Order: sequence, then C-alpha cells, then structure tokens
Amino acid sequence: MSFLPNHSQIVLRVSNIVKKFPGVTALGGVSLELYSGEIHSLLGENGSGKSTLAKVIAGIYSPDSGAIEVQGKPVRFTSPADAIRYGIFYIPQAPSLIENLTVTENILLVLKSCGLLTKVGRIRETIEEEVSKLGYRIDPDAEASRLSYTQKQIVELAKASILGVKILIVDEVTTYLPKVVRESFYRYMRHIKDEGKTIVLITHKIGEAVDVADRVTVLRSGMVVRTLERKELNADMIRRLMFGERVFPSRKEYPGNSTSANVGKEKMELVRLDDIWANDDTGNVALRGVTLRVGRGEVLGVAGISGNGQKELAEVLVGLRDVKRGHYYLDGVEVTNRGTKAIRAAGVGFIPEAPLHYSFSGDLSLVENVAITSSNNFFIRWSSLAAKVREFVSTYGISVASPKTLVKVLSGGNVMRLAVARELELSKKMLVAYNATRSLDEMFSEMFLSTIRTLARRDNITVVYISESLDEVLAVSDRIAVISSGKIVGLFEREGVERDTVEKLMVM
Amino acid sequence: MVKVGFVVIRRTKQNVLTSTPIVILGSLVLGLLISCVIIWATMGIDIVSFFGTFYQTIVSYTGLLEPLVFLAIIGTAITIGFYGSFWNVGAEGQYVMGMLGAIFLTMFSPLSSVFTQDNALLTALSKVVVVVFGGLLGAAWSLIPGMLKAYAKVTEVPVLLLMNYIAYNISDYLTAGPWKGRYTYGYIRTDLIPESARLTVIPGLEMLRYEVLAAVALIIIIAYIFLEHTKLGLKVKFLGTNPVALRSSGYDDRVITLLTAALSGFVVGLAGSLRLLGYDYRLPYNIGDGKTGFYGYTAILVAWLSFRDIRYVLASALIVASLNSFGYRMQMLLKGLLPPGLSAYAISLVLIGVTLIVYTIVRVLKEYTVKLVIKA
Amino acid sequence: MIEVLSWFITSLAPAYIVYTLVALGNLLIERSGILNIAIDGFFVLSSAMSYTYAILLSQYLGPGALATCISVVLTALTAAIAYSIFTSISTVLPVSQGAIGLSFMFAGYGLGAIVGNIGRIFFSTHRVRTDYIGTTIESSIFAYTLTVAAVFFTHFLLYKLKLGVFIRAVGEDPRIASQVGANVVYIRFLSGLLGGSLIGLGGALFTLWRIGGWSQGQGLNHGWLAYAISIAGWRFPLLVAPVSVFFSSLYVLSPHLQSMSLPVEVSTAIPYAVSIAVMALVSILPKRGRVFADPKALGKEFFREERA
Repeated sequence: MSFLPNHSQIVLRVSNIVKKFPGVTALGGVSLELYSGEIHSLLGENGSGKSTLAKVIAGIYSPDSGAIEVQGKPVRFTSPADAIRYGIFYIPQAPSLIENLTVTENILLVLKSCGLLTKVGRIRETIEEEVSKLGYRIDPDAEASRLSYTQKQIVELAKASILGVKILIVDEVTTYLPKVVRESFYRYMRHIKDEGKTIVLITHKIGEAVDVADRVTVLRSGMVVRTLERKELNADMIRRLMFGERVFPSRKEYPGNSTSANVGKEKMELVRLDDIWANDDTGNVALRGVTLRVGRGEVLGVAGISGNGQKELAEVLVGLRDVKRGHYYLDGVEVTNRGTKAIRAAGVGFIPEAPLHYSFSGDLSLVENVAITSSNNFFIRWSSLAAKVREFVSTYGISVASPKTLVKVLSGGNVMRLAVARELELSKKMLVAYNATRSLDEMFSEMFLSTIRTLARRDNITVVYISESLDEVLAVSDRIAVISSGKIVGLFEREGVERDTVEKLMVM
Repeated sequence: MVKVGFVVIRRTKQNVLTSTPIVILGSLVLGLLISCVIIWATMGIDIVSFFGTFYQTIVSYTGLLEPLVFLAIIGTAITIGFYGSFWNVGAEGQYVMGMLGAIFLTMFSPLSSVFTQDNALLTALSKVVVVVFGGLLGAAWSLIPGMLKAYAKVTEVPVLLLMNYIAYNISDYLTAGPWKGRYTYGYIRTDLIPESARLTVIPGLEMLRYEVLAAVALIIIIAYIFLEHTKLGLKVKFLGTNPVALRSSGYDDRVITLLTAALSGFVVGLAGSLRLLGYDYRLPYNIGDGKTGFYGYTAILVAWLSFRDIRYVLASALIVASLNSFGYRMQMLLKGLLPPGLSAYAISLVLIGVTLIVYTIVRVLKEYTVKLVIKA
Repeated sequence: MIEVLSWFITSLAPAYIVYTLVALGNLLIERSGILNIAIDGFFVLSSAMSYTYAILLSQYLGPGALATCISVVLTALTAAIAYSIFTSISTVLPVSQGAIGLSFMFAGYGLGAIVGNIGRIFFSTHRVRTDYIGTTIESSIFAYTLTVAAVFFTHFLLYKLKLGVFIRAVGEDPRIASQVGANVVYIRFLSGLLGGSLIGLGGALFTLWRIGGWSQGQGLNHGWLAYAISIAGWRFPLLVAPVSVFFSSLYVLSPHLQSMSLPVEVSTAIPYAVSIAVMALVSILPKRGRVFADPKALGKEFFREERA
C-alpha cells in the first residue's frame, strides 16, 4: 500500500458476505478490507449492492453468511448500536434526524458516555462547539424539522464526531450537494482521515470518487469487480468496470430538445399554479408562494436539492396534498383542494419516488394493483386485467412469475417498472414524475427519459419532471424551474442555460 | 459479558410447517396446552379432566352448531372490517342494536300489526324487513366511530368499546322503561315477540333455524364476492393495506372507511335481529352481564384465526365455537372443582386470549424467522 | 365550604388518583409508540391481582396496613413485568400492534377473573380479614401528593432526562432511532416497565382503596376512561393532571344525576359518552407544537429488515 502511511492497519475486513432479499441477491459473496487513514469509495450503479454492503457493515442489515472482523476481532452485529460501539457510523442520504426532537435531543440519542439518567441540558455546549468546528452555526434547541438539508447533514457529522467515529460511512450524502458545500464536507473528511480515521464514501458518480478517494472499490451486481488505488484511477476504465461491456451512452440531446423544434409552437396552458402555499407532514411550510404555468406538450423540469419542497409540489400537483393558500387550475378547471379524484379523472399520471408507498399496495397482487386504477366496472373482469398485466410485463421487462404475485415480492427496480407501465398508460393529459429513475438501472432510465420526450412531442402530453438529478433535468426538459426552500428561484428555457447558474440557485 | 439479541428476517422459503392449516391447528393445540397449564396451576384441574372436557365439547357437536352460525356471521362482519383496517371491537353494541331493532319493529311499531294477522306472505316479508332493519341499526351504530375515524382521526377501538357499554345501557333503559313487559312474573324484561314473528325451527336439529342457515350462506357468499370481485371491495382492500395508494388512485379514503364501518356493523346487526327473532324472543335486563353470550368479542378471534380471509371463516368459527363452549361445558361437568363465582365465560376468555397470543406469534413465525444471537 | 372541600377531597380523590396514575402510565407507554389497546385488560387484571395479593398476605402476615401496602407494591411490580413483556413482544414481532394488544386485553380479562377468584376462594375458606385503605382525609391527602409527584416525575422523565428523549425518539421514528444506536426493544421494555407499574398501581388502589373488595369484572371500562383522559391531555403529563379533574368529577357526580330524574342507565352511561366526545374533539383540534402531537410511530409495526 504505497500511498498509505506506514503505520496504517486494517480496521475492518469483511469476508464473503452474502445478503439475500426475497427475489434478489443483493450481495453474492463480497470481501473487502478497509485501512485506517483512508478515504475509500464504494462505486457502483443503482442495484450494485454498495448500499447493502454499507448497511451490513453498519449493523443495519444482518448478513446471511460471511464474516466481519474489526481490528482483527470477529464481530457480529445485531443492531446498529453494536456497530456504533465499534466506532462505525453510517450517514444515509436522507437525513436521519427525528423531526419532532431538537438537535440536542437528536445528538443525545447517540451519546453513550452519559447514562439514561443524564439531564438534557448538559451537552448543549458540546454540540455548539462541534458544529462550529465544521465551520457552521446551528441552534441546538432548534427542532430538527426546521433545519435545511445541509444543516441536517452537518448535524449528522457533528454526531459522528462527538461519538468519536473511527469508520465513517457516507452514503450518497454529498452526491447531490452543490459544489461549495461538498467541498467543505470533503475538507472535514480529509481532516479526520489525517487523524487516522476511515471514510467510506458511497457514490455512483465516478467524478466524485476520482476527486476524493484514496482507493476505490467497484461493485457490480452484488460482487466486487475490483479495488483500485489512487494512482490507477481512470474514468473510462472505472466506467467499464461498473457497467461491464455495456457502453455507457453519454448524456445526449433528445430529439425535439433543440430550439428549432420549439420555435413557433404556441403552447396552450394546461397547468396553472397561483401562489401556492402548502405545509409538509410535520406542519412546517414547504411551499412558499409557488407560481407556475405549464403548457400542453411541454416538459417542465424541476431541479433542486432533496428536501426543498419537491415532494410537496408533486403531491399538490396530483391532489394528494391540500394547499393552505393559492389556486391550482388544471385544463382551465379549478381543482384546488379537491383531492385526487378530479385530477385523476382528468388523465394525470404519477410516477413517484416510492411507488410502494404512493402507488401500490405491496400486500396485494399485480392484477389488483392495476385494477384499482384501470378497471371501471362494478364487477372486476379479472381475465382482461390479467392480460393487461402480462402486456406490461413483456413491454417493460418486469421480472415476475405471475400476475397474481404480490407486489411486495418484486425487487425495487421491478416495482418501479410496473409503476412506469401503469402510470404512462394513465397519463392522458399530464404526467408528474418525482425522482422516477431512482431505482431504475441506466438502460431503463434512458428508455424512460426518451419515452417522456416522445409523449410530449407526439402525444402533446404535459410532463412535470421533478428530479434531484440535475443531469436528467437538463437532458429531458423544455424549461427548467429551480426550487429552493419551497420557492421557485429560477425559471429558464433549456436552451442556453448554464449548469453553474442552476447549481448556484439550488443552494440559495 | 453475554449479550442476547434478536434478529427478525423474512423467510425466503416456506415449508410444510409453515402452511396455513398447520399454523391454525398448531396454535389451537398450543393454546389449549398453555391454557391447561394455567387452569391447572390456578384451579388445580388436571390435564385429564381438561382434555376430557374438551373432547366432550367436540364430540357433542350438536351443541356447537348454534354458536357456530352466529360466530360465523359476526366473524364475517369483523373480517370485512379488517379488510378495511376497521377494528370492529364494537360488535357487541351493534349486536344489541340489531336486537333492539327487532323488538321495536315486531312489538312497538306499526309493522307489528302484521304479526297478529294471518298472512303468511306478508309475515315472511316483514321478517325480512325486521332483520334488515336490525342490520341498519347496527350499521348506524358502527358509523359513529366510523365517522370519528374517517374525519377526526380518532382511533376506533376505545370508541367502539365504550359504545358497547352505551348500547347495553340503552337496552336496559328501554327494557326497564318504555318497553317493560306485562307478563314478566317479577323479572325485568320485555314481553315475548309474537309467535308468527319467530324463525322456523329445523326439525331434528332444534338448535338451528332455516332462516339463519340461509342467512349464513348468503352473507358469506355475498361478502366473498364483494371483497374479491368488485371494485368497491378492492377499494376496501386498498384501504386496509395502503390508504395512500387508495387516495393516489383517485378515491376518497374517508368514504371507504365509512363504507367499511357501515358494512361491518350492518352484518353484525343482522346477527342481532336474527338472534332475537330466532332464539331469544325477548330482551332481558342487565344485558351486558353475559346475556349476549359475548359473541361480539369471541367473534374477533374468529376473524383473526381465519387469517382475515373470508374463505376460512367457517372453519375458524368451528374452532372458536368449541373453545367458547368449552368454558360452559367445564362449568357443567366440573362443577365441584371450579370456584363458585367464576363465570364460564371467564374460562373461555383465558382460552381465547391465550390462543390469540399464541396464534399471533405463530403467524409471525410463518413468515419470518427469528434468530436468537448470543454474543460473548 | 369546609364540607364542599371535604367532599371534594374524599369523594373525588379515589377516582382522581386512580385515573391520573393510569393515564400517566398510558402516556409513557404510548409516547414510546406502543398503541395501548390492552389497557383495560391490564387494569382489570391489576385490580384482581391486588385483591388476591391482599388476601394472601393478610393471611400470612396478619391483617393490617403492612399487608395492604405490600400488595399494592407487588401489584405494581407484577403489572410492570407483564406490561414490559407486552411492549417487547409488540416491538420484536412484525405483527400489527392492535392484534397483540387485543390478545393481551382478552387474556387480561380472563386471567383477572381467575386470579380474583383464587383470592375469593381463599378468603372464604380461610375467613381472612383484610384491612382496606379507608377513604379518609389522611389517605386522600397522601394519595394526592403521590399523584402530583407522579405527574411531575413523569414530566421530568420525559422531557428532561435522556431516557425520556429515548422514549420519545422511539415513539416518533424507531427506524431512525435504531439506526443511531438506540435499542428500540430495550427502550420499549423500559417504557412498559415504568408505564405498567403506574397502571398496576392505579389498579391496586382502585381495588384496595376505592372499592375495598373485589367482584368479578371489577375495573371493566375504567381503563378506557383513563385512556380518554390520556388522549384529552394530549399525552402531556402537565395537561393530563387538570383534564383528569374534569373526568373524575364527571364520573363521581354522574350517579347523583340520577336524583335529577335521569334514569340510572342513562346516568351511568354519561361518563362514557363524554369520553368519546372529548376524544373526538381533541382529535379534531389542531395540536400546536411538536410536544402535543401524537407520537408519529404510534401503533406502527417496527420491523427492521427493509428491502435492499
């Protein structure tokens, strides 16, 4: 290990870790070694097993077989608490703070040094100190629900630091942060690396791994492909390792995306949001006076960092969330706070980030889940619906045994394909997509994005494409809106917009 | 130091031990064994007497038929509720409401005159009206907690349970007051309903009534068709499994909640009026003191044991009817050994409670493995 | 004036103390995310248990305050252990909490009948004399003090101690809590222990202080009254205390409404109808502030093994 200081040792070793879920083998025998004083990146596309591996190391999942050794001693984790005791701390992409507790209370949860009978007030100062060490200032008595995404992740880092973390696992946390914030996180990571700690950086962005990692392990389909050292890092080679022999198509311009196709096309308005104010689930304001117009056949991309109101915006658009103020017109008809019925009846499809939560009932079968939206008689005609399901299965490549299978048995990717199948059919006038490609693999994502463009161009269907992936928004939209802290802070035509401009607005 | 932890993982393979019939039977056997131990430890009744009594209960199956039909009807009603995640622990109250409806129509309403005439067709039709009316009252009674759940997000279990008690009180009030009977020989109760209003006894199987048998069959079949083959039934199933998905499909989950509550209460109300017309013929005082046989509570186990699936309700009702009758038979056969103040139902409650707990745990083991991890 | 006060203290006290203690125990359990459907079953069981403990102890230790007091403590302990089993099972097993709660409720009713009857047989065969706590001014004042102490203790525990943070965390989001190292099962075990002891205490005082004796079915539905109080007080100890005054007064006064020419059946039903109405009202009104909202994970299954 030529790049590591001589005194670095193996802090963690996993051997032959196997982890299966119903219907899918997430890890098929993974072995890996982590050294002290390194930033180690786990790289792989969606479904490669990198998150699963991290969760096994962090004690969140228990492996079906295989061994874990910390500092040479074999260990078995039955819960994250065990892993934390060994200094392993996991930070997921979605901030894991408990909304209704204050920052202090959230951090108190992880402190082992004080017993259960400690008074809450005692550690406030320690928290203020740690947070300022990172270069920020946060009120320890603030409710977690009131913090921004960045602030929440800072609290997470402070937590880890107070805990005396030895192995810090960061799962796609920095992937969507704008450059400025990302840099401050990297600074912190390099600082603790010099203190001999280990950072495991999980990402699917090759660029990020190349920027920051000392070693990179590429995973594909639940197996380790290779571990590379810093000097061997090469974007093209890594790409090949991640995707196999498949050539990764570079983000291309989709047909109809150029101005020439748009010139002279008068877009009739389909969606009108006027000064929409809405709250989130915890009662805080999520949308502050959102005003938008979207025309027929237009693809409006909504870019932003996770947690800035996108979820609530999607929910308002499909009628799942009431607004406190403002008006929502669909095709000239006012649908404000009228629920999902009118909107669905108008022909609106919804592909959400979590279809098992929003679109389907996992405990029911595929046919039943298609019947709920696509059967219009009092008595359900199961045979014709089963035929429709089979059609979906073959067209969209859903891997499932029979239409009677329960949806919860399907893998994440297949559930998503089912959602895409069902909702594309229901999108007669509009499609609302929110982080739709999250659990989809690259190839299906490409096909999906191209289908959206076709829907818009050929069938004149409006698409509101909300995504935390700026790449996708740039690839697919006619116009781009940037949302930050519940406000639309920028609205651009796709043509000619600078990526940097958009990114800066995302952090505002 | 030794530390113990649990890890619960979904099973990826099923084997014969985890099949549905084995689970149901296994829970029953285990529940009986544990109850036997409890009863032995607290009342000194040995295992032979215990299982001997149980055997007696099964063998004299004719004694099981009457609780069977009522547990089947109410069990179906509660199962319907479960499909829509409506925990109908208020079946006792809805049952009483059904009885009240029956008494009211047959004795204290304009319709009662039909039963004094001799028109067979009219009488038959009126009986149907009475039974349906009982169902409607049951539906109304369950709609109150249903509305509170749908529009105020009040958890329905305490409301339903409290309303059972209120229903008992309403019944007692009417029985001791406006509906008090004239020919009662010193007891506080209503008069008997007219002969023509009563249901037809089946010769040879005196504990059954034609109308009740027909009702059981109809109710189970219609419930099954509704839940498995209609859009409305599918909406109820979605409500019970993922209400967000129901809403995002374009439906109002509050309306479906109301529907579920009403349907469940309706069927229980049917059972109540059938009971009154077919067996009780009058209302007693202190009806909350066990005069209802507590079918409303026992049927919860029926619904639960049937894997909340209409197809298994009859089988489940049979099993629970035996557990239920067990207490009564114990009281009959082992009179000297049991404490004087102990009601038969209390014994049945222990059986039911223990079997429910065992069943719940075994149900879990059917779908998940629980690994005990010991770390040194 | 003195009479009113005296009445207030002695008549209201038993009801108030019992309901408030049970409501406090309930809120501790529900704040940790366990939907306490079994409350009535445990209350009935505790009521019966305390009687039987008292009978047995009076036989072997001689009748008197010692036997009675030890019975109260024993009941609280037994209830604590039983409740902790309930909360632990509800957490570990991926089953609906309502199902487990209902099972325990029924088992509680049944076991209560059996346990109480054991005491009764013993009582009649051995002619035991038991000293029940009389509803005197002294005992009432002592009990009030105890209850007020319990209120402040519960509040302090939940909002000023780390244990309370854990309890609330587990009730809001057990998944995240476990990810950051909280042992959810252990915390729910503790909340069952603490909450259960309060509920057991209430049940014991109900039998040994308020009623002074036992008959089958004793305590039925009183658990639900305390539950309603807990909800009406937004599961917040400092609010539960005054709310309980209202409910307890209602319960104590309602038989007297009979003399106002309300039939006895109606007047006994009033507290229950009012409880329902109050629960409805409280649920409709928006709860300002994070402290008053329902625990987010209340009643939800806790199952750690998620999808990949």
